[in-house]
Amino acid sequence: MKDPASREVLLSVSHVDIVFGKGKNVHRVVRDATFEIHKGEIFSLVGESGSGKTTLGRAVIRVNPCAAGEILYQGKPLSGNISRNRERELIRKIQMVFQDPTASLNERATVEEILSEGLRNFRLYKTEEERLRKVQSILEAVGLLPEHLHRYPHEFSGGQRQRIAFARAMVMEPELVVADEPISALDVSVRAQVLNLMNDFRRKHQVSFLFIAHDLSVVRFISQRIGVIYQGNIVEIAPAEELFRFPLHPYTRALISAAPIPDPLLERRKVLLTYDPTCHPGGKASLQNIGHGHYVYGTKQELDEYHRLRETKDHIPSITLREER
Amino acid sequence: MEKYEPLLSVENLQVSFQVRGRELTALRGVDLHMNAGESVAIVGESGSGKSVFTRALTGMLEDNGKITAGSIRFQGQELTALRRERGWQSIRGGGIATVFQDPMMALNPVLTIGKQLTSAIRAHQKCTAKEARERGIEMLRRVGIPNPEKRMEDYPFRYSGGMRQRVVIAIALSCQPKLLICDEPTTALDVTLQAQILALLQELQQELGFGILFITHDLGVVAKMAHRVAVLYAGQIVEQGTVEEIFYDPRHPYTWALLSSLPQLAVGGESLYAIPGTPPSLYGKLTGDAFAPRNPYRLKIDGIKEPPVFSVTPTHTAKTWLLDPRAPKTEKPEAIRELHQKLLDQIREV
Repeated sequence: MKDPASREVLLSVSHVDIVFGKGKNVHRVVRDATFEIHKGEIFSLVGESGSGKTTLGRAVIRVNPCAAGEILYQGKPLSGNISRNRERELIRKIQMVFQDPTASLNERATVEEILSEGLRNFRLYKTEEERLRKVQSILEAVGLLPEHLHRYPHEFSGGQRQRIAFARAMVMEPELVVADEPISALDVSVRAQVLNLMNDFRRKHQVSFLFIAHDLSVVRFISQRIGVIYQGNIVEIAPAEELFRFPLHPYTRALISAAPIPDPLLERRKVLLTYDPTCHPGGKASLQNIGHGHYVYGTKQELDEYHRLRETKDHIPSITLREER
Repeated sequence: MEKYEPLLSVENLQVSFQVRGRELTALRGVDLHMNAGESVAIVGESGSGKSVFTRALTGMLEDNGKITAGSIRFQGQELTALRRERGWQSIRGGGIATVFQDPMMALNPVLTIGKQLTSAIRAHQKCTAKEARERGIEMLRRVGIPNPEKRMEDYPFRYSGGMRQRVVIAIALSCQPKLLICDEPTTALDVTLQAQILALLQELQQELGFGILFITHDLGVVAKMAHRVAVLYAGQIVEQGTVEEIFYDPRHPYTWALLSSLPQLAVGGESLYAIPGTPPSLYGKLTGDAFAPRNPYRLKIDGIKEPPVFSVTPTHTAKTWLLDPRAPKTEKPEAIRELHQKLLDQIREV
């Protein structure tokens, strides 16, 4: 599975299974997940709750072990039998931002302590001045003021807190950030701030993101590529515009149609698609490249049909509108 | 259009809280009228007073909060005059019911769903335990829970998030309320479940004819659910109108800003519009227009005098000096002009 654009692959997840429980109670939460994240891109993983998207994100930060398959970071294994030095390096290079900024920030530490903790653990500064300079510049980069350094998390609004959480991740100068629904707990007006912030870091510092979300309409404008996951199976991966122009898997179409459109006339006319998992013919299904950097999950027969649709159609509608009466 | 009878009328409602010896004014004169069977959405960011408003309507303000002025009339009854829990009991349930944001918090984890459902029915309606149970089962079936007889005996943890929210809706509707307050009922759910729950609410509303007061910050949800929209900012309604008026002909700069920050409007890698600054502190008195410090279209007078409410059409009002005949003519920002066409083009993908 090589991307024709042949950009530098930062993270490659191949045939990963993640399993919880033992013996009779075994639950296969993620099945045969395969995708790549390129350097300097925002890759979004979208699916409903319980689809395994967070589990997969946690596997990337090495919290959940893989039962099968492997995750390579810059071509080398991410976990298992690796040297202590490499482990420390990975901890610094892969950072995480969580959904709820209230729960993920230590409420008894000032912003300065929160932002310095990682720097201290990894001795990323020579003098105290250098540490302070780093902390101040990252604070400025996320749009907060130097006087905020000595405040506590509770003194900030939700959006500001999420920016502190981003600053804490970014101060380590990571190469990959796993952002697990970082905007779901935020107001519409503040979401824009956080999305812009992610885009800034990507453009200026070539940071890659694994962005986990459930709303395709939000993801569309920020990510370069999008993966759709349904009950532990990745059903479709494509560049963002390609996915919206040619949503091939029926689940992707249902997901696109479920997002509310901020327009009363359109919303009233929109037909809601529901995904019926029994609509697939029997047989062994797998995730295959059908060209244009577009991967779809399906049986041989389905994949041929998807391929034909992709090559003959100008686009595939995912939102159908009822005729106005 | 005006064939409905008035259900709720709120006039000049003011609510303040005593916080560590200081007074915080959460609602600074809210006027809102609702007709029976109508859906009204209240939009605003966190801290704008959306939730305080709903709690004032059901007498559930915290102990340090009180209604300092104004009136709430529900079906002709003055609710601000109710002093005791007893009085409120007759309003809640049968009159006004609420669906909260987090269905796990709204349900008691140590009681079965059946127990919680029937206790609500028996508290507000005269019936035997057996009848209550039958009604409960009927309600569960109505909100789309398969196998309701068996599911009555299950505890909340056995239900998934979407199913739990359906149960909460069943409890809220079990006493046939005239007004259902939905306080961000789908924020905790993902988009597929959100679409199902919203469709269910619309269906039930058509069947049972209750009014919905929808609290949300998601403009997509507003477009789907509301007949009318009220935009709340710093404890005041700054713009109010039919859903078409608010989306296609907004007049208040705050509404412009909210619409501009929609991710659907960002084209190809451009930055999203983010509203600068934060909402004002509600301690003490505010002078002038509360939105002025964040408003790129602010006028000199915004800092001096609070704007009055201007009427745009009989159904559309906005509280901004920009509508004063003496103000310079200001157009809404480029990004949200022809919103309908832009979103339509996006769907057609040409």
